Amino acid sequence: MGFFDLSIPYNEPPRSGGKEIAGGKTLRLKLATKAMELGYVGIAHNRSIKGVMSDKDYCTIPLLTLGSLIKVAPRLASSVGFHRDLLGVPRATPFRQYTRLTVHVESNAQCQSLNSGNPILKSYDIIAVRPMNQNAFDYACEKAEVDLISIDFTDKMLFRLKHPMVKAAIQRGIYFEIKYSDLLMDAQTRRQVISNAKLLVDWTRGKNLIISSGAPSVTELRGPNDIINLMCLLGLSSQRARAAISKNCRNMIAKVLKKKRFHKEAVRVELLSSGDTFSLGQPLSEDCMKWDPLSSGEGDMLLDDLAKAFDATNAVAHKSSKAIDFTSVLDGLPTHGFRVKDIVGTEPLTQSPAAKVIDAPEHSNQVSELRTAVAASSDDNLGEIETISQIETQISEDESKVEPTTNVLKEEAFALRKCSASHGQGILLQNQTAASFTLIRCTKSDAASDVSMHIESTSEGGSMSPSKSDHGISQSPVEVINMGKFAFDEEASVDENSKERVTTGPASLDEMHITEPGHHASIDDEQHIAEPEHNTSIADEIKIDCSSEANHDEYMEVTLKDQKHETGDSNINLPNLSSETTDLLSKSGKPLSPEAVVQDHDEASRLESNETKLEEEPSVPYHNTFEITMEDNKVAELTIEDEKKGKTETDTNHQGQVQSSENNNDTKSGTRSKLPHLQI
Amino acid sequence: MVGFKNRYMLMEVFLDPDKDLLGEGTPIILTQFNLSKAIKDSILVNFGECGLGSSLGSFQVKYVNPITKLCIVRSSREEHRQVWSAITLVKSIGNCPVILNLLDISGCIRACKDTALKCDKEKFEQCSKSLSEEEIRQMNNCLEKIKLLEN
Repeated sequence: MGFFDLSIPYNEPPRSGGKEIAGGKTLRLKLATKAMELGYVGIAHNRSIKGVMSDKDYCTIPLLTLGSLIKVAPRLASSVGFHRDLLGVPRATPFRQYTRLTVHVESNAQCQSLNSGNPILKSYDIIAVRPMNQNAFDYACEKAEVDLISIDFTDKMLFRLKHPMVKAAIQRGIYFEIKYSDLLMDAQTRRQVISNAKLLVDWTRGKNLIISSGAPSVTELRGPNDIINLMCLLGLSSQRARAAISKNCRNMIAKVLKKKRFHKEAVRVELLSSGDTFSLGQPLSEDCMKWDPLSSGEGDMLLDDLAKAFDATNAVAHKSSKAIDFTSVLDGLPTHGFRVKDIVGTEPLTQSPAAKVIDAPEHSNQVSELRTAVAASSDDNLGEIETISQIETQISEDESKVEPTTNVLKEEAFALRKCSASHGQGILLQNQTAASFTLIRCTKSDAASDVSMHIESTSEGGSMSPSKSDHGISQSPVEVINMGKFAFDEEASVDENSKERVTTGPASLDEMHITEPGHHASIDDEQHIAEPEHNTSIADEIKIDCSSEANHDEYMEVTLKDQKHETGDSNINLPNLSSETTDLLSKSGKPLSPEAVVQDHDEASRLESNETKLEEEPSVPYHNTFEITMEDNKVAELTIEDEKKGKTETDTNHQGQVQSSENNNDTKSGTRSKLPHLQI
Repeated sequence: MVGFKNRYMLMEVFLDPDKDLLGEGTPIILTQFNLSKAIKDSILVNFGECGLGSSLGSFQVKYVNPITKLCIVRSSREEHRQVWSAITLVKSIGNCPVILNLLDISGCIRACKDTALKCDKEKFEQCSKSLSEEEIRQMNNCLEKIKLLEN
């Protein structure tokens, strides 16, 4: 987990002059170099503003470039690598730079300017407020649209910290900042800081707390481990302190960048140029492969580039499109926070984003290879996915883990389009203008599948999804969405769909969090479908899958029904379960044969005709026992039970019938416990 | 069985970071003495007489490599956090501003020795280009010293 130092001072050049003072630039350079050497993976250039903001205050902070760093410290790369190894930070993590503005707020009028409509604020990445009096502090905690509240602890405090205010700020998602360089100044300052900041630490208990340096010179920088230890002087436990310098920073940055790049909770609609014919064979967008929740755009620097730049004898590294190095990526797979950059191969992001197009042809080749392979054999395990990356809640819930979806899914011969509640992902859309647009959906990748970690898949559409591979839980099936069916003609349904997805997203996220480890949801629904024990959910799924997106009504129906079936047994609250997610959770890892698939089709249609929406207990995935909750007709129940072939014991049948008569959750849970463990 | 529980902290020193970013110069020569003095002063200022008294028992700078700027500091297990904080708060050794950065902390000297050897070699490679013969010899001496480190 990378460490961030979010407060490197930046001194605004005097208004009359056009360039930054030479001394200032070197200082920033030195600070950044030192920070990078000490093992930090991200810094933020902090500019302070007092008083009223004017037009001249737009962000003009020039991000540091690779070349300048190399000039200052030629042998930086090896040293950085050395320190990163010791800290446990992967070497390939890019070094990011962000821009930050700290507004000193004194009066009410100045407070009013801290709203989301202020264009000056929008030009910076991170907005911090430094309240100078009680009113300002109260306003900042309760109403101001800022990311960070930075309080000056060095001198006598100008206002009091009130517990309800602090709580309100935390609830709104605002972070508090403590600068550790104040502790390094002199004895008097140290005394004040410890006494003042201790209160904040006690009340926040480390939650929503960020620690940064604010170092006026290089001598005041310290390594991450040292900072963690220093914070215990303030009463912060080492675990929380570590989070304060890594996880909290990361979360805040992810949130901030999302807010900056996308609009509220909307998704980004990508504009497909009208000249292109859409086909699944092409990557839908070059951009979606480059999704990096923390990317600072041109400010990112990669260690490889540093090394190369040095080897090239101070020549600035230029763009190199490398082939994807699968083995190294495979080795370096972290359990969390996977970035597409790793997969896609590293392209120096010091280049303009437009240059990223270069990677696309590489991937499209691989993609097309994959597709032909899929088409060729029915046994092929490769599937195609399009990705939708969702923003906000999911990611913020999930600590903004974005992982590349493994486009490769186990898939039987047919290409059912499955709806997958994108787990932690959503729909990536761009500005919609033209009639044609693509809806890219990010689907969960099946962590359990062998291919899940194949890089080839990632080349496909740069799709990503957070995979809980660490839990060993395979993710929901990936859905192949044929854009043709999508609302080329109906934008409305797509929008509804997206909304649907968005709403189900958080729910699914919760679920996935709670899913018991070891429960496998294979990617392919077919696999589940063939299971005789799985009836309703499969039916639902097939039903849903087969239907085009326009039938989102069915989703809603199923969702509602799912809600009724919350069992007391599973301690998980499963609100708004989309049927997809239920299905996903209930899946086992057994591969299905095509015949079974066909059989299930029949079953599905029969079930559909019965109009019985039988739902499996949402909690089924959490136990290995198979439980049926019947709501309506016993007829349907019996038909379904006929399907089961000897796998279910007769007890279950009886139990199921018993269950059907009572919709009581408690009873179900009671009977559930009696159900023997079935080999699913 | 073993009465004294210690912590061995492996640290690197950045001398004069403002002027010399990658630690390739040598404004002052690191010795066990001046490093130990700096740390003790820091403990005194930050934790007072009692703090200094309680940490002095097991406190010792075991090894210093003036070329790669690596050092091993030992302290008792009860006081190691305080000593570590004091080390972080050290701002200068003599007249030279420093940054002390902890690389590794371990409970036994053997583990610390292994890491120290590894780190020393790596750091040596990083700066080996600008070293003279004398220094290379000195470096090898230091490596030997690590191997002889005992409780």
